[in-house]
Amino acid sequence: MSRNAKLKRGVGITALVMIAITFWLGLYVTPPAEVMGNLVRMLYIHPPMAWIAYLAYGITTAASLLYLWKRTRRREWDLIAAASAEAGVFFTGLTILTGSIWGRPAWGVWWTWDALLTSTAVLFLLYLGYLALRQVPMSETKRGVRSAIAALVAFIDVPIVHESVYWWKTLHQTPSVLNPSMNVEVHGSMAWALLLGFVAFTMAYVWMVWTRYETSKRQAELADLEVEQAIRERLAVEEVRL
Amino acid sequence: MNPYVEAGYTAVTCSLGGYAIVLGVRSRQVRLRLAKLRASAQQADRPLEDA
Repeated sequence: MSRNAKLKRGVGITALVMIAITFWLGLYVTPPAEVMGNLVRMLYIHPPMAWIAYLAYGITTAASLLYLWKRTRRREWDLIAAASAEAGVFFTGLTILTGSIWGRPAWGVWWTWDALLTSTAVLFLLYLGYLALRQVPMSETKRGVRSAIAALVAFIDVPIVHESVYWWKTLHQTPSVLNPSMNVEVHGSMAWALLLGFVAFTMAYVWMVWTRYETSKRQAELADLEVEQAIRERLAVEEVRL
Repeated sequence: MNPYVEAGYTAVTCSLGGYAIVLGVRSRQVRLRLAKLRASAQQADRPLEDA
């Protein structure tokens, strides 16, 4: 096994163990909240999902910028952008799902057209569109440039999602951790469980992007080899004819 | 335990596990296909090298 593969496996196992500890802390160790009761346990999984989605789209944007700039244009940036966007869509979906499960007992509805929820749904659709655009048949460079531009446009929605709770009247509470004053409103074992949740899911994200990136790189190599093989076969047929 | 909390944790566990399995299976399939193609490309090159 190569050093890279060993490192990736290490990241994956660490993520798995940390997620298991987060779940144990979140479900059995931390106390129920005074007002929300046991429902507060959703706090240890829902905000980390949203954080990973922001992080994933940030990485996609940075990689897309590097691909768009001709001096740093490399296939690898395009593949990293795509791998991160895929993970971002996955975590945005989980953010919406866990938020909806929390919203039903807290607000009495599974879904409401609240500013934060709506902008998050738009974010989800924008990056689904980005992933769909990547499936359109075209040359590699053209696909890379077009999807990089789409990624930059889609990223405009990220600050809108985050700031929506301040800009509009929403049902959703303001962030307990990533707020403008950086005043963490969670303490004690609850804070530790939340912190571990952030680290654990970030590790899981790293493993996902790494695995997806490696697969995409091999798929690109596979496509190149298939073209080479087709050319070789064609030349062989023509040689026989001559 | 609150049923909504149970549902939330179950959903996250199943989704993460499912996605990890899909990624792992896809990675393995592509790796095997690439190895096969590389081997056949090497075989095709061999007569030329011998010549």
